[in-house]
Amino acid sequence: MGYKQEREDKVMGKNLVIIGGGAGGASVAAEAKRSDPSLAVMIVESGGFVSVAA
Amino acid sequence: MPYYIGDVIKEERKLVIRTPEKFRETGVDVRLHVIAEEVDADKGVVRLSDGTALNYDILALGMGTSPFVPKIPGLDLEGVFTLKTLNDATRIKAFIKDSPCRKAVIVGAGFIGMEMSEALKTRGVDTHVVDLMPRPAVRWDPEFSKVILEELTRQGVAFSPNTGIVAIDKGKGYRLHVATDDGGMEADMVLIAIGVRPNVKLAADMGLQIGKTGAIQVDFSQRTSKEGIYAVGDCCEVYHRVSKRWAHVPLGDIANKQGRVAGRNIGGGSIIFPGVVGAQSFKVFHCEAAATGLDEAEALNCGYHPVSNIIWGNAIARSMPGEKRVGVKLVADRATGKLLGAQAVGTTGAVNRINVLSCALWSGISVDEIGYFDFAYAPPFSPAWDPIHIAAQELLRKL
Repeated sequence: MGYKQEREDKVMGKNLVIIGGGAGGASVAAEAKRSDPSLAVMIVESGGFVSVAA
Repeated sequence: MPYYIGDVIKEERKLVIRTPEKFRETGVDVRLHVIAEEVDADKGVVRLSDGTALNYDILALGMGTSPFVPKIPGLDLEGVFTLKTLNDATRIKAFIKDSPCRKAVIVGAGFIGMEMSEALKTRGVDTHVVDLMPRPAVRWDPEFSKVILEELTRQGVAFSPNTGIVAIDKGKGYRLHVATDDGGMEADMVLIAIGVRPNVKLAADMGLQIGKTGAIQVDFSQRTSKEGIYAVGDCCEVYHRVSKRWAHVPLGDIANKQGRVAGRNIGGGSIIFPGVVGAQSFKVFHCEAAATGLDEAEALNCGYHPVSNIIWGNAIARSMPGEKRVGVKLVADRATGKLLGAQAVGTTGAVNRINVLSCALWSGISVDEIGYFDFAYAPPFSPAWDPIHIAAQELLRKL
C-alpha cells in the first residue's frame, strides 16, 4: 500500500482516539492499525513517553 | 524500571518499546504532554488540556493507575518519590547519581519495594524498608516471607514491620526525617510504594460502569458499558479464572494482551481476552518469589474449601553439587480436588514452577494429575521427582 492510498484511507476511515499511551493503549494502537489500516488512530498521552515497559 | 534505576538496564530508551516516531511511521499519531480532561460520549468528543478537542468514532481508555500515597505532610519535599512513570524512574536514577544519597527509606514491602531495595542497595545506598504489615511480601505465605526477610537481612537491607509513616520533614544529618508511629529515622531519599489505584475519574464522569474493584468494568472483548468505548490495562478489570470473579490486577503483561484484544476488535475482528489466573513474580537479590491463583483466605472467600501444604525441596537433582532449596506451596479445593493456587520461593526454579502451575490452574487440573505431570527432567533442572510432584502427592493425602 502506497503513501497516497494510506492518506485516502485516513480520510475515509473511522477515528480511533486512545487516551493513555502505556502498555495497554500502545497495544490497542498497534493492533487496531494492523487490523484495519483505514483507521485514523490518535494516542493522547499525559506524560512524555508512550509504550513503556514496566 | 527498578532494573533501570539499579543500572542493570543502562539506557532509558531500552524501556521504550515503540517511540512516537515509530508509531507515526505506521500511521498512528501521538500527542504527548496533553491530558484528556473531559469526554462527551454522546457527541463523541474528547476535550484536551491544550484547549483543543478530538472527534472520535471509537474511544479506547488506557489511563493506567496512580500510586497510592498516605495523607501525610512532607510529600512535596525534594527526595520524596513514587515510582510509576519512566519520568519517575529517570528522576530517581539522576537523584541517586547526582545528589548525596547515602540512605533511602522505602515505604511498602510489596514487589516494587522489594525490587527497589535491591536496586538501591546495589547502587550503594543504605536501604531501610518499612511496612504496616508484620512481614514483607504479604501476598506470600509467612514461611516464604521469612525466607525473603532472611535474604534482605543477609544483603544488609533493614526491615521494620508494623510501621506506618506519619510525616516527612527536613532532616539534620540527612536531607529528610521520616517520622513513624513509633519513632523516626533520617534518610536522603524516601520512596513511597504502597500500591496503586486505577485512574477512573474520566470514565466515571462520562457515565461508564465502574466495577466492585473500583476499576472500569469491561467484558471479554474489552468493551465498556457504553457502545464504541473500550478500556484496557491497569485502569480496567480482568476476569480471574480461578475466583471466577472480575478482579483488578494491574500488571503490564496483562495490559499488553488486553490492548491487543481491544485493538483487534476495534479493527473489525472478534476475539476475547480469556482472563488471568493471578500469576506474578519478583526477584530480590538471590531470591525468586512467585505466586499464582488464590491463597486460602481468597479461596474461602470464593466459596471453596481450601486445603494447603508447603514442602521444601531441591530445584536441581540431589546428585548435583550445590543444593538449591525451593519451597512450594499448593492450595487445593477439598470438594473437587482441583488446584486453586500455588506459591514458590527459592534461589532459582521458583518462577518456572509457578508458570507450570499457572497452566494447571488455567486448565482446571486436579492435584492427583499434577502428582504425575510429565516434566522436562534433567539433573541441572530438577530432581526426578520434582518438588511439584512431591507437593502434589503430599497434598493429595490431606484432601
